[in-house]
Amino acid sequence: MSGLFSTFNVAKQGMQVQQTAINTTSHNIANAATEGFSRQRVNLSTTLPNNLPGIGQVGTGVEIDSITRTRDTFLDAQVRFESSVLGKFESTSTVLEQVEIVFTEPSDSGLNAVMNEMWISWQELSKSPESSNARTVVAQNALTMTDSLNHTMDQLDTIIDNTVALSESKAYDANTLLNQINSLNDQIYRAKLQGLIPNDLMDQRDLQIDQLSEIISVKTDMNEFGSIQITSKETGDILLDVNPENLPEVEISVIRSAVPDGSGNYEITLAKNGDIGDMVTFTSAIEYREGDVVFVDPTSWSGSPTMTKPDLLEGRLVGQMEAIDAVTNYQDMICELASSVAEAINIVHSDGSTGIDFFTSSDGNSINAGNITVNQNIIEDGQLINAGATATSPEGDGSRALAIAQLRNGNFLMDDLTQYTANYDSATMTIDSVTSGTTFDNYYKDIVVKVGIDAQSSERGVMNQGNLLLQLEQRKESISGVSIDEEVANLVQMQTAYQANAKVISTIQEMLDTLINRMGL
Amino acid sequence: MRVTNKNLINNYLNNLNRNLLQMQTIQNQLSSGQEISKPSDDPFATIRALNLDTSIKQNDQYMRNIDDSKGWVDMTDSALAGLGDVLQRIRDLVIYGSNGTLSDSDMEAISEEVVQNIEQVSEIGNTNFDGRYIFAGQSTSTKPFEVVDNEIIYATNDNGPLTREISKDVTLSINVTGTEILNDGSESLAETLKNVYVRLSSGDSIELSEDSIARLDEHIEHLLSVRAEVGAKQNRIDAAMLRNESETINLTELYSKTMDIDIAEKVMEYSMMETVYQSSLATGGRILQPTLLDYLR
Repeated sequence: MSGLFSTFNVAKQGMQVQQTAINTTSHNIANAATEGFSRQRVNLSTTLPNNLPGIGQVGTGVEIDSITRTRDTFLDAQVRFESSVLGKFESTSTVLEQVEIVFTEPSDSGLNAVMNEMWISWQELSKSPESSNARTVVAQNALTMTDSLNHTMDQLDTIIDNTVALSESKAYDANTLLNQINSLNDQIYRAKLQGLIPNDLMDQRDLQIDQLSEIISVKTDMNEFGSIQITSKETGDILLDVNPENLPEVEISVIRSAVPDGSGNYEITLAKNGDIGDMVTFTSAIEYREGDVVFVDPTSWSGSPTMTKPDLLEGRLVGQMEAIDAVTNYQDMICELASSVAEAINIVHSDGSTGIDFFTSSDGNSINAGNITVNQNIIEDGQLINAGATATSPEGDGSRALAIAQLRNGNFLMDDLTQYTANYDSATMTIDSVTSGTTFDNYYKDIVVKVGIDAQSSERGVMNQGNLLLQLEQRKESISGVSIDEEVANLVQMQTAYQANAKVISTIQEMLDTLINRMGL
Repeated sequence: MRVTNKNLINNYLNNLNRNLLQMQTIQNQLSSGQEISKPSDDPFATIRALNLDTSIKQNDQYMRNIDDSKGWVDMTDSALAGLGDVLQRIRDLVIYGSNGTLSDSDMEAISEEVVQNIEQVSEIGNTNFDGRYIFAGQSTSTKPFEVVDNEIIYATNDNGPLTREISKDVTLSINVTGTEILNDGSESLAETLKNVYVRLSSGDSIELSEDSIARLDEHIEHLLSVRAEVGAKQNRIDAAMLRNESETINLTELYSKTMDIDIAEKVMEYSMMETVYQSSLATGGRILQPTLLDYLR
């Protein structure tokens, strides 16, 4: 038989517990819109019952077991991986979108149109070689084409530079996140040692790992003290040690530039930790390329840093690296096109390199899309254009101009500049086609279609991966998210329980009143 | 499955965004009038459009070449016709002057007319088209013919061809050179005409009737064969023109099919999207507002 005071205690504890539960509900509602927050639950259990011999056990009330967060860590891992994949597609897609703007095809102002104008002006020249107008038009249209090529190269260079800068800032973010996760590891470790469950700290840490996953794909392992070790998913490199006393094992950096120094080494410039205020330059025997992501041993920054080039597959950094590769590839193709057009026209124009070249390079190096230009002498004096078969041809002879115009229909190999000299026939002023070759026009279209397909596939990747991730996040939200309806319903329930407990107290008070005051002595 | 408010909002925003994206695409197509605005919209349609565009522009250029060539060849033909008339007139004069019954003054008048006709032959030889001498070979800006002592001289003596590309890899030499007009058979036109003049002047009616007429006939015959050749070129040019025109029409139609939107269809699609968008906005207003709180007092 329990005393009235004992029941009093049961009710008091009940009120306290309901109050704490209401507090947690309020915490949930307050954080309904907080990113990364998972709803918390107060887990209640009965206190130890009293034994009443001969009767059984009598309850002694309620107590709070724990306050836990509702979270599915398996789903977390899935979301993280998929957001790494999405990050890759997104960053590639952003870059390729810009590349498409550079090419402005299909339109009347793209390289296709400009190249067409050039070929056509050779046709016109072949018809009226005695006209100085036709000569000026050839020189100017060719100049417009070379300007477009130069401009396209410049713009692609800018895109690469911007992408490297973006990679640097992402690397910086990743390093910052690793450090923050490390300090959260520390706080969580200390809390756990005291037997506490640091729900909100764990939410914060999970959010930061989510953010890190977008940049670089990671795998997490938790030890018994709740501390998390972070490794690269693809390479297994430890990024952050489980022991919070150790700082991150690697620092993620991005190669700003890698210039071959001529002796087999590379002059490397990179932003330390992606911090552009802290540039480091050194020589490396290993080949790196602009935009490469590297893991640097943080203890090795003095001198030539120890670094590895990880084989990453997912994440924003990889997407940017792939985008830079793609843009470099387009640049190479445009350079091949420019140098091939220039070489073919030059060979015919100079009658097998015996006369003057029509195209030259502006910087003295071999011709590419970046330095191609029209021979300055020709721009100044259109009479230098060889329209006729020989230098002494009559003024009405446009046969060489026609031969140049007809180069447009020839099939050539774009990666072989020697074929033009080898296959040139001085008598007919023609260069034999190569059966496995392609026309200049078609090669340009190949470049455009490549850009189109690359952009389309990354765009589709963004769409599909975005949808997949949305589904996963909806599931995650369904488990961890705060439902206002649910919380309000709980609130009403807890309020009622609180009131009922209070009612018990006032009832016991009445009982005590009866017992003490009404029992007349 | 447990559904939270954020689930609803996420779903709602995602769907709304998708609607807007589709609307934007259609808006873009409507305002530009083109199906494709960047290669990734449809890489293969883009390459088709670029190919067609190149072919259309190349065809345009061939058409300009054809037009120029046609003008040139037509001019050549009419010049040759004029030349034929002049030669015929000279032949008539020769027959008239060779019957041996004319007075000296009549013979003088005839030879005077022959001199004028020789000048005219030279003038016809100097015909120009668009500022260029058509019978001068490649020396198009040098006057090719002159008359010295009643003998026509082909001063430039240039027999270079003027070649035009009238369709892909099909070239045509459009000019007739002075040599082709003057030289044929055993005696050049220049010499024949000079002899005619000399014989008329000297009253050598025997040579006129025995030699000159035959020579003139040879030259008239030859001129006809040159004209037949020019006629054949005209036919080739006309055929190329027809082919070019029908090709351009086909290419333009294909290009239009690839690139141009069907406005009626797009407008329908757009208004459908608009309806969907508006109803999703209206639904949003209904599903997002209420919570249990609205019903608790």
